[in-house]
Amino acid sequence: MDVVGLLSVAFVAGMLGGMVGVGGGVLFVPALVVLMDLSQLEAEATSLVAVVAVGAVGAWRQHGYGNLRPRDALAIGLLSPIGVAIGVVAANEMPERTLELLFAALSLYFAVGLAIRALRGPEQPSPARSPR
Amino acid sequence: MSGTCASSARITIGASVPSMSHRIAARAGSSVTGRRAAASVSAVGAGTVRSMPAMSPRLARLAAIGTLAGAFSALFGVGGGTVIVPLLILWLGHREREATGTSLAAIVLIALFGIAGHGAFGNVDLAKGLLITPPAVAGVVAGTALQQRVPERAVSAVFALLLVASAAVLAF
Repeated sequence: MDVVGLLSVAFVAGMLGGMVGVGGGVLFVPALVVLMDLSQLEAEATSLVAVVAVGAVGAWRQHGYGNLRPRDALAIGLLSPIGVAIGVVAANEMPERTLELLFAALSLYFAVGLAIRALRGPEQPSPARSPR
Repeated sequence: MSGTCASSARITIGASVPSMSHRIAARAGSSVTGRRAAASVSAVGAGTVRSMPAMSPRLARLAAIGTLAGAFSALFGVGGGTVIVPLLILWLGHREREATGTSLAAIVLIALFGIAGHGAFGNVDLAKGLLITPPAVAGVVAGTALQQRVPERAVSAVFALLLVASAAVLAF
């Protein structure tokens, strides 16, 4: 149990959330597994607590920069429960080791996607940001 | 606060389930996507958009994104932004930064539903979740501010390396 390490990873994961637009869970989960001795399933469920806060603050900041379409966000969120229920049941039914390996695969998939972005740069030059 | 939200989320999930089976029974033989979309819409119809007439293609796309992201989020304990951001750009014509911001807002609701669902199975360690929340929030404020200044390619490269390391730790 390494609280300082955990808090550092949480900070970095939050930065990932703010910069790349994901909730940061892909880093919270391994941090909770390795540094807090949670099981993969417990870590995933617990990670969602921080994901809520990261999403809320990130959305608020992005709103300040004019980068938020509230109606689309609300629709996606309110239309998610069926998918969430499927995911919760699947995670609980699955053997722990399978969940771990799937998560590792997910991390690699993220890594490859980010590496491609880093190597290629943006597909087309991003449009000039209008003053907001 | 999260306790209140979680319990209301649980009620919403519970409310959507009977209507899902109802719709599925009513539409036996329709495509999987159609069923899923109909089910999702009835969930929303119950809560918010009471006078929604027929489902627009736009709403169908949002429903599909919500369902995919919800499953992804609950299965992996992440927000689901990986699913949401590219689909918002491809299907709804968002610009990249708009998709990012919109995704973060959607993630709040999705993760609340996820906490309710996982909480029902007793998997949520609320104290540890709250322990990592303050530094995570500080990180996101720093990250969002930096995003406007730092080249995206550099950011992507750093996080790619970080994720390879974390995958290795989990797999071995």
